[in-house]
Amino acid sequence: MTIAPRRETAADQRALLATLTEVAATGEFILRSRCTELERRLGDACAGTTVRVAAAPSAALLLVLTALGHGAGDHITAESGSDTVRGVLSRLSVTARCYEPDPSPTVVSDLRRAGGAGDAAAHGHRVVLLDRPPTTPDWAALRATTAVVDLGPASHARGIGAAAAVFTTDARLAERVRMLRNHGQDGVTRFLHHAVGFNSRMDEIAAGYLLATLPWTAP
Amino acid sequence: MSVAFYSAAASLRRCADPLAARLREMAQDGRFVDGPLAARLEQEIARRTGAAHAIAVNSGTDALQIMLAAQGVGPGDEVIVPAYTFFATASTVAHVGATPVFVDVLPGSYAMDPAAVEAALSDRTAAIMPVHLFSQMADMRALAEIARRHGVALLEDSAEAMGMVLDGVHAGLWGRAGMLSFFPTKTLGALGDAGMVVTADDAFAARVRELARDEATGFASPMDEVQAAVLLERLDALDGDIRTRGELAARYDDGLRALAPRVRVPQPPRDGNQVFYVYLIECDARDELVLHLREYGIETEVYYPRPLNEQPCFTTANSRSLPTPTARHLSGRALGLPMYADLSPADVDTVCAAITRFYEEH
Repeated sequence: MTIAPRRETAADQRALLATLTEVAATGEFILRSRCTELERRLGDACAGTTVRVAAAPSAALLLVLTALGHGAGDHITAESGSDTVRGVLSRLSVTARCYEPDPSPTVVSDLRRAGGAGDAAAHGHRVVLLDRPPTTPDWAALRATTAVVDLGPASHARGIGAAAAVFTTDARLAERVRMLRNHGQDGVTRFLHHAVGFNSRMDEIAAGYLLATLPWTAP
Repeated sequence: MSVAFYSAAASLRRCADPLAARLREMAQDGRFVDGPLAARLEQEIARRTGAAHAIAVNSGTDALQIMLAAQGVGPGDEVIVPAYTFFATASTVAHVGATPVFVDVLPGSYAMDPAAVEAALSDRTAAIMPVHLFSQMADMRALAEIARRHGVALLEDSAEAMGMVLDGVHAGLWGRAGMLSFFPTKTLGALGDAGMVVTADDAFAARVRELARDEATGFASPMDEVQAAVLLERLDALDGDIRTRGELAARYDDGLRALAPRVRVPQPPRDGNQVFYVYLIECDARDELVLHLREYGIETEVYYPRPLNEQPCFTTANSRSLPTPTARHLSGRALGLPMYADLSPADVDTVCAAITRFYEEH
């Protein structure tokens, strides 16, 4: 499936109310069946990637960089000087050389660890920022291992609140992001924290709304 | 015969029409984060708590995080936290590059022991962060005095403490700042993550707003307007909900008191009011009781199965700990029973009967 551009409609309002009612009735509030279904459908539209939804683009980027082991003292090359990129790198105490990208319909930042010792797997790992979910043909052109995608109100997806997704071809990274986004829990045993994780979770209302309003089309 | 741990269904049905109207407002306004509904919620929370400033953010965890960052806590600093609490109390300290220092809690209140805090102080201590757990506040008179005497900041993890008051001061306003969580199962809950920082300090509030609103700080965390809309609608019922929770707790007390000492019901606070966000018992054979209740369709929550200083992610490399025997003892015995304003008295009786049956059979 691919995702075509859309306009907000009265049907979107009804979808929001229906999602709210369902969420209240089922008691599934955060990171439950709608989030899982959204991850599956976004992943189906972009073959070869695993998708992990998150609270917001900056939160998702923080998860990715933390999962890659970036931290204080690292040096990174970033193409974008966007506030999101600068903010997250500052928060991690990562030193970045940032360049403004050429104008493009798609905002792309290339964060590559610049030389020196470090995790060989992270060296050269290409992370891009997007304002729309990628599809299979898009992915090849990105030459990325991981994409952080804005799904919020100002994005192409026009979600109902802050929302994001991580697309990645790196299965280990996907698993690490899944754990880090929910306080370092493994999703099996509650209140057992394997890593010092964050709270970077998408809630079921955001996921339900995107499932109902993204114009999924058959390939 | 199932009894859910928490349900928002009836509450949302009651406010469905006004909520729909607020959501139409939101759609017409066109702002879906950090908009007029969040601003209105800030005013209402400030009014209810007596805070000079209330700043809405995306989650309780973010509120803790931003509070620590606004205080300037960072690498080289220590923050004293209780070992028995939700993970975010300590993880947010680690995420600003500081070291959480775990101290034991007091039986009955489940809050940090002031004597343990005194013992934990060092020349690196930047803040003391008490948590008000389940139904009552920490010993804020003692903790405020310790903080004042040693010149360290007092920051409250008052995530669970909506409606809790001591000496006329709402939880979160005893020190430099506090925070509230509106996670769905909270006394005032949204339908997803939401939180707020509260403070009387003008300069601190300005710094919190700067961190929470500017992407370039790395801490930006706007509240979703949808969650603000839900909270505004549920706020009208809050006083009644708190009263009802108290009545349900009293009914639980009556139904379980006879099971002492195998079951211990919540103790009333020495000072301050009691607001039952969670009805927590301590019990023998806790894990077997959980399974027994599940067979009857009764949902429970183990708060918390492991103290934070015994978590795999906290080691001597990234934390420090004093002895915490009470926290460890509680982690093997504590159990949260179903508690929400729309829980029926009959449901409480069902839970009590099932618990009684367990201890008759074991």
